[in-house]
Amino acid sequence: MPFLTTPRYSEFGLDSKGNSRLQITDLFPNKSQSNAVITPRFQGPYNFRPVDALAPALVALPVLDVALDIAEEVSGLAAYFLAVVEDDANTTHITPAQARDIASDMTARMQFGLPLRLIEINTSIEGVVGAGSELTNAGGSESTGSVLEVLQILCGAKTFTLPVGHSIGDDGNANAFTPFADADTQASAFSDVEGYTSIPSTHNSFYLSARSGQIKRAQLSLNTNNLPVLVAYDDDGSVVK
Amino acid sequence: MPSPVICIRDASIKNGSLMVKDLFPNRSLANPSIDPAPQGPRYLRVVETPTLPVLDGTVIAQTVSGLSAYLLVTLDLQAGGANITPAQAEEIALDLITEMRAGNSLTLAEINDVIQDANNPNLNATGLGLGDSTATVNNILQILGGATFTLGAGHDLEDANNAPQFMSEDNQASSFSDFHNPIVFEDSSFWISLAQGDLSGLKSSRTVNNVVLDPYVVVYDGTGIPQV
Repeated sequence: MPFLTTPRYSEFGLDSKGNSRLQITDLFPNKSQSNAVITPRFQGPYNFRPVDALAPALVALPVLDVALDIAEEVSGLAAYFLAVVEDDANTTHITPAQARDIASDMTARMQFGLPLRLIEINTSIEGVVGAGSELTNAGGSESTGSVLEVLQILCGAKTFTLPVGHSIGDDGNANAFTPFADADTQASAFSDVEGYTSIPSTHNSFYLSARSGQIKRAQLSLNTNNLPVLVAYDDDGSVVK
Repeated sequence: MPSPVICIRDASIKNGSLMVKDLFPNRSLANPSIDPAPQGPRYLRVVETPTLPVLDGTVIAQTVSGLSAYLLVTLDLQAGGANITPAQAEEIALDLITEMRAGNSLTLAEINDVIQDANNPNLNATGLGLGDSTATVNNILQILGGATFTLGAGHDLEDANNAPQFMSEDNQASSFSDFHNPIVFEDSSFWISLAQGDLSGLKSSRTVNNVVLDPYVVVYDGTGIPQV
């Protein structure tokens, strides 16, 4: 499914009361014209409800105790990379600082509307941690994770949380990385964000908007710092524009 | 997915003479406040006649547009790190237009066959994806579909160190005219038109006075495979 996010949260994110400040109206059918009996369920207007992708909270530095367990509950992208990426060269967990560096790379790319495909995410991981540590076992490590999960966190569809006591390494075994037990356990670390409406990947008018309508214009509308109003990602991390 | 492309086969047709009406939403009915950006009617454009680019040394001497200009700045001669010549670019462009007008497939392999079969010598190892070539199948198809690609006067085929350079995909994208409006791959009304509507008729053979004539258009998917 595609995702929308913004690097200009203070202008286009939620207001102080939690209400959406940006509405996309060129999606079909629009609620004002749809007939509940004979038209598809309305897709517009779409109230844009992102997370603040540039807020410190999204890349909060996880804190570990001496047993390599999470000392304080932590959410966000840095927590995610800490929990899913193995340092392949040393067969250990990565450090919280490395996890934060990778997460910061992701948000920096999003700021300028750059793609976040597996190749870009893995290039960042290689740059920070080293070759072999890529997501999805690509480098032969025990790393898990996926583009979809990165986008879900970055674009406010899901919250990823590591509870106190979650182990990311074995201090009795040379700090060996402790991955999630299985995919279901990893999935259970995600929780839905209230108010977020997912965009179906079969939603034609979303792509019409992203490639030739309001979302396209929003992606091309840059402020003086060259930051666009919106960034639209497809589920493989490519930019839809 | 790269955008599909509609190319006009019939050389007698002028720009804007053919219109595809049945795309959704149609501009005449679309409400800009609540409807998607209009996709129809789509006026079809013919491919530009290739022009021989004029060089002053390695610099484009006068503004030139079309497929030959595109090939000149994106093809790596014999994968050896040099640009092809303007004459080679023009010949390849004419050959590709001939293939399109015949309704033939123009995938990467087939475009490379056309390039390597050109009568100019020393092109048998030149092609898309070979050496430093930056040309793409979809951009070639877009130009065959009437998109205007323009090289301004002063564009240098070499960089500051006098080494040949090939135009990056980002720069290629910005060299297309603003009115270039690619078809949205996800637009279901395009595919419905192709299967059952206006485009289905335009891409089908027609019989006039008991003579079977070629279709008006050929429709390629983004990778150069004609849609039948």
